[in-house]
Amino acid sequence: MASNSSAAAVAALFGIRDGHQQDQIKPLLPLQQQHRQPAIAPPSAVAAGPDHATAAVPPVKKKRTMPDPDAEVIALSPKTLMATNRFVCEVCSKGFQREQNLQLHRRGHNLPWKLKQKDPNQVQRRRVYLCPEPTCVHHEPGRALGDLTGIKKHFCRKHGEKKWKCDKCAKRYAVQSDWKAHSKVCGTREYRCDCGTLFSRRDSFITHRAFCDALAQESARLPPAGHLYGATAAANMALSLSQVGSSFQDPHGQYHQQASPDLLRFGGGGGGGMAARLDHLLSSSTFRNLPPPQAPAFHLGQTQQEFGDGNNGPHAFLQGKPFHGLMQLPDLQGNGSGGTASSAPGLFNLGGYIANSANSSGTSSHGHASQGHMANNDQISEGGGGGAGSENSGAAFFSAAGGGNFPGGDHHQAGMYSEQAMAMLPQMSATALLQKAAQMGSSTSADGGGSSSIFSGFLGQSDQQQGRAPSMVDQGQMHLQSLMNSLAGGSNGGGIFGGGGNGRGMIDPRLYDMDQHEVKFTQGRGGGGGGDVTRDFLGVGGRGDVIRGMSVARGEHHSGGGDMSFLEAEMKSASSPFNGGRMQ
Amino acid sequence: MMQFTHAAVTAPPLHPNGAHGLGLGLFLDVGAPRARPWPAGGFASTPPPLPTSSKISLGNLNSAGCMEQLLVHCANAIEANDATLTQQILWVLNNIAPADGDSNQRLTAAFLCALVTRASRTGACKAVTAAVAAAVESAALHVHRFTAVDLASFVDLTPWHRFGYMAANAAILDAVEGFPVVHVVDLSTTHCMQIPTLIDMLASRAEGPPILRLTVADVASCSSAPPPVLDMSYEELGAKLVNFARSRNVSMDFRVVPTSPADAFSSLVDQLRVQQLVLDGTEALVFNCHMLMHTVPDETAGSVSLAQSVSLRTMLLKSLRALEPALVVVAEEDADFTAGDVVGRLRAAFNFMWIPYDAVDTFLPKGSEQRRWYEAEVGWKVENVLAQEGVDRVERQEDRTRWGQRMRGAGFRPVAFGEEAAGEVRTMLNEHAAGWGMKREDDDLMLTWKGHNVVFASAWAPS
Repeated sequence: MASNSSAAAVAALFGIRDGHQQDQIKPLLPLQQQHRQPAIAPPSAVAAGPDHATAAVPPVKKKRTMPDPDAEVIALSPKTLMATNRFVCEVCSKGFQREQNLQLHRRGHNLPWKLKQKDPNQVQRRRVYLCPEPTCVHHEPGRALGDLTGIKKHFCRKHGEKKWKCDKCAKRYAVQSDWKAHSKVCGTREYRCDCGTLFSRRDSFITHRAFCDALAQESARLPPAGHLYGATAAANMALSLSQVGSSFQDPHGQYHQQASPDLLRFGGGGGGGMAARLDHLLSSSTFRNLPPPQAPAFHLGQTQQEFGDGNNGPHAFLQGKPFHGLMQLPDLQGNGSGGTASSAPGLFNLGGYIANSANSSGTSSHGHASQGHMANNDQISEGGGGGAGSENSGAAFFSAAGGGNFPGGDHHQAGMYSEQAMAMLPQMSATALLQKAAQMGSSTSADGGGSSSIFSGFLGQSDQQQGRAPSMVDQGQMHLQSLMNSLAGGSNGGGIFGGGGNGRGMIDPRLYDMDQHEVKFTQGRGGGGGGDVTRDFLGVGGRGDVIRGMSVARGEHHSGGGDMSFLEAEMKSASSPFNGGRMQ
Repeated sequence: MMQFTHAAVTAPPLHPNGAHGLGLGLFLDVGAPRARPWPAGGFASTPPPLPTSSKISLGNLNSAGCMEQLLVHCANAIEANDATLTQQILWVLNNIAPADGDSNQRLTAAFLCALVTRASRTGACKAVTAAVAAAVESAALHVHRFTAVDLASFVDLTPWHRFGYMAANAAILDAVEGFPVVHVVDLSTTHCMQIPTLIDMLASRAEGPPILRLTVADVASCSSAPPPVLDMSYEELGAKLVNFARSRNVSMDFRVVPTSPADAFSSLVDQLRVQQLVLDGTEALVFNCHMLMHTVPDETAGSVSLAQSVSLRTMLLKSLRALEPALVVVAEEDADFTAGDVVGRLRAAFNFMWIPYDAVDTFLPKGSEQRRWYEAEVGWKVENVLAQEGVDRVERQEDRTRWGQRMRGAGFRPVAFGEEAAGEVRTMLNEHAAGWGMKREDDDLMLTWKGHNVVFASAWAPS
């Protein structure tokens, strides 16, 4: 091999370029030297082995585009280029790509070995390498690549077989190191839509997701449930079912403690790291694996399974992203503040989860808490006859948040939560909120036709809570209050949370009894006429038409009186699997 | 300036039977190099000498400058009703500029198509272009009808639109901070492809998501609505967006207003005006103008304009101003295609449209379906600039400076993009080919390709 070459040629092999390359590629093995195949010998030495198809060095072409016109242009055959294990140890038959490596290996067998030394007197000529593929641009000497490893990888990538396949996705690689690099990040930095498409960028995924049929199917797939409230349910419900469910499966007892500050920070308006965490949500749970609500326990398990797959086990994942599950909660708040349509599913998510964990006989105290929640939900009473559902969402939300997750499960943790809540939430004056809500109410009712702000209901509640707080040292209540404050605070009074035609608040504070973790709501819904809780902003429509709120041309925002909005329907179907039978 | 030239060495013409054996008596001079760098081939001549007065150099036929010269001569011949010369030049062009050649050749092929289309409408050249027209496929005929998902991934290939999306989203998010209701009026050519990311950003804003009202200008009914074409009704699209918004816990209301740039979106503006009457200040109105404003006739549209002195474009901006928007974002291509004469437009377009052809090599393989869609879209633009007149000529880009003058004239003041917005754009550009860049010009952001201005994004608030 190398012995075929003249000393000068060998010396040239370890020129400056080689030194560079070595530093770049093998920084951890400074002793290791690279050896060039003899095929690339300079003109003075003819060293073409039998497997070297093109060993002759063409006269250096002076192309303007070539960085160094004096560089030697080396053309190697594909076989030479791709050769591995060209240097074999006679003792153990281990093969090496470079003779220097073999020499180092021979040391281990106590065989004679010799590393080639660079000859300082030899004039170093830069070498450039051609791609053997005739159709390739790098086949032209003017476009030759500057190092051997580069041309090898180029040849593999562009003209070689992609034999390395990622077992998580469909990607294939020709170069093992590419495959390794991809395998490390596959599934962590990628976003998968239910339709199977993978995205490496979040906004690509978001945009695709919005228009992909998979999302619509999720919404449509959810079956009618419950005799009273049969309708389709939104994907949201299932969505946060999996989301919340998976995080609440968290085996770490510290979950609440970890989660709380962040939750609160968000609710209070900080929310700095929100997006980053949502990334994870989006990638791993929000849009994936949306289970139908009828089989919550099963899907819960499935969700967790998926986390396990994608993230080296739920432990690691949840440790890394402790807030993951609860992130939904801030969303819920924002949600409630945003308005009925969005809030409703979110709210129910929570309720859904609770029922869910109860069903799955939750491994922790959550199960117990959830049972309490189921009871809470049962207390919801509706005054508005058959219709109305969005108010219920509020009920579900409050019962869930107030009783279930925090105080119900573990009073100590809930206490912590509450303290932090008090510390971190911007404490908006309830009166101010009330005023704001009233303002909103009047403004929204201007064109909404008799729907007034249910926020006043919330705020009344909140107000009352604050009034009661000093006397009642109930953690759950504290928590609820803070939640509600954040809810109201986030809303800026923008909520059009329904409300009866006559403007009554939907939460009757008198019915609220924190000690029993029960929330009762009466619905101040005004009979038939103004029974429209959902405003047209929702863009969700009545009677199964998903986009009633969307109107072409001049359609004013209208909401058909007495229509059961899509949202309501959704709410109901969401609730039905769990407690629909007992709802009044 | 960066140089992206390689030596125009003695490469044989790609079509040996082309320029050589024609005996056209057509002589062109390839003159001194211009300052303008070209993606390939580095020479262009100074203003066109008469075709018969100089000598052709076949070796340089493939350079962009030479091709531009031939196109200019061709356009002049068409305008002069010189059928013979038109035919000759078209023949040469057809042979040196195969539609599947390198980026300059494809660029030239698109211009050739556009000139053929133009010639086929002009008296004397009608007949003679028939032969060429048969050989030349009109790109405009092949504009693809996208499904929403396809369009999403198509738009995603290049920063051309994403740049404006990201800059606008960031500016909108800043401008609507604290508002419980956000009303976005989307004046865009890309069918709401920006909206999901906007919803997503609004959904995770610190104070909780606002109620989002989206009003979309539907210009599809117009005779020359710019591509891309969406193979889906806006109702359906809106349903998807609303559904998506709900999944992100954002209440959203979607509305479509059929309108037309030819009358400065008057139906849309009227409707907004009525709505604004009942608002109480809790709603932030935002105009997101993405590559659609240039379709409103400018002063050069002539007879279309209601008054001689005031263009519809100015009128529109003033009526937007009267609606007291919280923000107006304008993202447009930084080019000027408003010249009255076709040669002027040809030069301007040739000096801009090389960019999409040059860039496409970095993200779509030759022969791919998406590449055909992409080039057909660019070809549609070229054809619109060159071959259409009056209201049908909607590609009336104006450069950043001119838009800035218009906005100021209408009573807006510039709003600078924050560092965060610039950072996000830079991050996005890193995901694309190395040739893309971003720079700040005054308060605006500018997308660049190999140092050349491509698309600017500017944000404006009532002054």
